[in-house]
Amino acid sequence: MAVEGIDTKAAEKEIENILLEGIASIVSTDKASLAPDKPFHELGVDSLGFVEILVFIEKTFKLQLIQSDLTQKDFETVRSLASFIQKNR
Amino acid sequence: MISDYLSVKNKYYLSGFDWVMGVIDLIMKRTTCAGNASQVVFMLDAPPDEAAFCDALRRFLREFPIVGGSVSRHYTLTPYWKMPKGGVEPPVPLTVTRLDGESAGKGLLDALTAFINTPFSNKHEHLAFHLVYGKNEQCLAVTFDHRLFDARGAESFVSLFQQFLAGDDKTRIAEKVRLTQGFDLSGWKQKFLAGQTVNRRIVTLTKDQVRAVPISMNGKRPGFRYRIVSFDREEAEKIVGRAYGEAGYLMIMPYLFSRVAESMHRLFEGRGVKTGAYVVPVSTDLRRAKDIRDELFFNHTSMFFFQVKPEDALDRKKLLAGIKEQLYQQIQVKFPEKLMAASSLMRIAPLPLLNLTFHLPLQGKIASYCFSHVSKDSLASSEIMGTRITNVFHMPRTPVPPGIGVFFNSYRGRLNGTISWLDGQFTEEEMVQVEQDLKCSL
Repeated sequence: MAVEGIDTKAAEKEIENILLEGIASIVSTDKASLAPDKPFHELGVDSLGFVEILVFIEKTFKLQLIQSDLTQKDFETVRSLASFIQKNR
Repeated sequence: MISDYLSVKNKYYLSGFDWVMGVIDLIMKRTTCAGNASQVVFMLDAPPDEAAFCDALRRFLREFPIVGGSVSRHYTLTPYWKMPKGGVEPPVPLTVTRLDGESAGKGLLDALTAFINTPFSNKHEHLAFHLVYGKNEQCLAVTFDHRLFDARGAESFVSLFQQFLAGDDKTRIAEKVRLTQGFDLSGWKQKFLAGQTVNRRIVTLTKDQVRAVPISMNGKRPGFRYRIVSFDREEAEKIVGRAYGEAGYLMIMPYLFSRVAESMHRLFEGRGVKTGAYVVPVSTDLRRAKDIRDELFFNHTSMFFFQVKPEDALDRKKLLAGIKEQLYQQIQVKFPEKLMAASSLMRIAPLPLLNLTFHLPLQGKIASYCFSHVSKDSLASSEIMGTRITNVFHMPRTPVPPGIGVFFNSYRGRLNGTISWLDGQFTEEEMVQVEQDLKCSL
């Protein structure tokens, strides 16, 4: 049980890293300057950037999210998004 | 050999999108009182020192002779921006207007409308600054030729001026601005393939007739008129909250677009224009450079094209779902980037020929109305010469056709919507109704 928990955390961390790389490229900034626990709107992401992130998620994790009922909570930070992807992929 | 050309100073080869801006400029000069220009307005909380401002501006502009350039063609047929000779002060008009009387608000809008409808006086003039002093409000308006700047570029140019005013060395600021650009005469296969994607989208959009209000000028060349809808921080926050709730987290652009689509549908129906579907071009910024000075001058934007079915225009859920789906699909296939790549193929055609293309095969029905949302400003600070900038909004001359558009921008938490229409195409009463619709529905 404990091992499974550690695996999940490691997988989420890996997804978080992939997301940070993708987002850094989309918002034209350094990965290091993006805090995974900051809300997306504070990372300089607007509507178009956000849809670009959704396209990136579809290509990378095969998850289509544009028409799903995503709550702001799922999408609030890179960390919560990584957790959502881990649970749903 | 090519590297020799690239190293040639003082030639900025224009992109396909710069050329499209040139076509729109020609069309607008032939059909309206001026060319393809826009204006960014900085509302100020106190009047800046006029003499000091004028002096600083002149000194700053001397570092940018590029603003006095003109379009020319290289023998490879690639169009380029011909820089004027060094040491020549660029022709940039600077006017000072004083408003008096009680109707200063209306007077201000009238003055701003007059500036944007004044054509540049010659082919080397592409920029004008206007200081307006009212009884209770004052502003700086910067009118710019879209062949020189896009909206973000113009804001960023003012941002460099702010840095200069704050004491930064003007030469150091200017020397990092990129003033050369290659031919972009390679990658033909990719450009043609990009053109294929663009064509497919256009064919899909024009399967139904494009719903448009005909433009009749009766031999006149009218100007543009404007209404500005402004929301303060508190109101804007509520709008953002409603957008998140209804359209999804960060989906402000689709939310604003859906409300504009609803209002435009009522306008068109009221006019008895009931055939076909709406086609709406939405501009988008393609900049990727971290330093704005790499992409300051000329156009670094492209377009999305949306279709709004009239039967969905008053069904908010369907309308939003359709807008989001189309946005997603276009980003997925990189439509704006492909439009930009494909447009470079058009550079070989002379502007009058492209003008004909717009009017003959497309019968002047390219779009129903324009829309855009610029989510953040590009300013270095919220001050100009010690006076605080209280708001910033844009007043574009909407391309003709369609001659009508709604353009949103955000400034430090505020939200502004500019309704821009060709005088005579719509009445003031109709536009007051659009403004009311937007105020109520947002």
